[in-house]
Amino acid sequence: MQLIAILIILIAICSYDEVHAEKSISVHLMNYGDSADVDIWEGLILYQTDLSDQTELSAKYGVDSVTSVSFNTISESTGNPEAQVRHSGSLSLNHFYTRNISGATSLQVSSKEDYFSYTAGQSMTFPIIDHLTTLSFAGFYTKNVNSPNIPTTNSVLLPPPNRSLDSDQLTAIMSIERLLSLKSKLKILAEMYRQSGYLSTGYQRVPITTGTTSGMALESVPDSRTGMSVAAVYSRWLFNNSAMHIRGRYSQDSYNVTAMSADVTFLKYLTDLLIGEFRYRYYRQTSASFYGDIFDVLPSEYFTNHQALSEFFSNMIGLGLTYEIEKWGSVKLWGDVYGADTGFNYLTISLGYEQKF
Amino acid sequence: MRKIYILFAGVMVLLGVTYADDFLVKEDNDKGIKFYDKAILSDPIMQFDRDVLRRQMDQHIFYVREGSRGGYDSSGGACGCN
Repeated sequence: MQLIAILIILIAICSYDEVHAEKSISVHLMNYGDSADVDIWEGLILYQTDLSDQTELSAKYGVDSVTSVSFNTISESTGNPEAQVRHSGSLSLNHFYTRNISGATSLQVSSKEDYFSYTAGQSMTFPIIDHLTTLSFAGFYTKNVNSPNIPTTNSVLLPPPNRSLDSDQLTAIMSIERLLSLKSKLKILAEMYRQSGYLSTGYQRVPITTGTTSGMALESVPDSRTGMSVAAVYSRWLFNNSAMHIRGRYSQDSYNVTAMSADVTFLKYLTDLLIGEFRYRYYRQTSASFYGDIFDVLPSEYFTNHQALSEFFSNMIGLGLTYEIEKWGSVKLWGDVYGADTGFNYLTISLGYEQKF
Repeated sequence: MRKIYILFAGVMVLLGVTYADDFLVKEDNDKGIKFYDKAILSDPIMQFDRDVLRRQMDQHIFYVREGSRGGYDSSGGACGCN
């Protein structure tokens, strides 16, 4: 409710302007369903307006609802099979300090029944060399305040006693964008992050077998995680009003998870107002050093069987259509299919609408 | 990991030294590509991440289902998924 009230106040403030400000509102709806029986509906509203000739404000509100979920994700750990609802909101202020140098300040909050987090960030963008190259820096700080609502009757699922469940994340991003020609450009990004605190969900359980006895225990992961990633995106205008984006990405972290992804997106004007899009993404990662699918001995200091930390590769294919309504906005429809060699797969269907006024 | 950080710092220093002389061009610099030459580069389908909301939805899913992160334009988490 607080987030909704904040958003309403913001829209009221934004609506009051003395200039003929450009405004837009975007609405997106998405359905996500996967092989782990998780079904999520997500809605996002993004409102953007010019506050002045130099300042633009963006306000976003999102809500998602888990309408059904696998037994061991929520039902077993919380005893509560009901849907979880998560709210999030963000504010971003983009300001052009000069004609070329811009900065953005953002604040984002999100919450669900047992969880609250906020992020504050600042970025700066300015041209260097000969106006063909743009340099950007960004920094973010995220604080997660976690208080899992786990029934005390199930003691094996309780988080370790006398321990803060909060966590922090610091992120630094640098990117360089270079215009290579009148039809192509290249962007290189580097990102470093550090997470610290309680980095487990509080829900994830690990089966442990010792001799003839077996049981379950909460996963245990290191209290800090440091990682870096680098990526390059090459964009090229092609024949017949079409364009292609190729992205390569590599990342490594202190959990010993090394990952790479490569994706290619092809876009084409099917008519003057209709844009078709095809996307393919390949992803591969190694497992965390403490990952084990089944524990047949006492686990070491850290242990998890969370599949997101296992070794796997995946493929994703996406198709999309965008219809541009001249001077008014656009309507978008797209879907993605994702499949991993572990057997996990998901399907998303999304519908988006943008209105300019 | 340490080698990666040293490599990252080295690249940053190299870029700084290379571009030190003409860092931060003046605003009235009339060199380079004119805005009217950038019609194709400014076309919506030439934008790296032309749909911010879609990218954020993608990142949200990848954040939960994959063990790596980063390498996109914006970050910061606060997705509530820990």
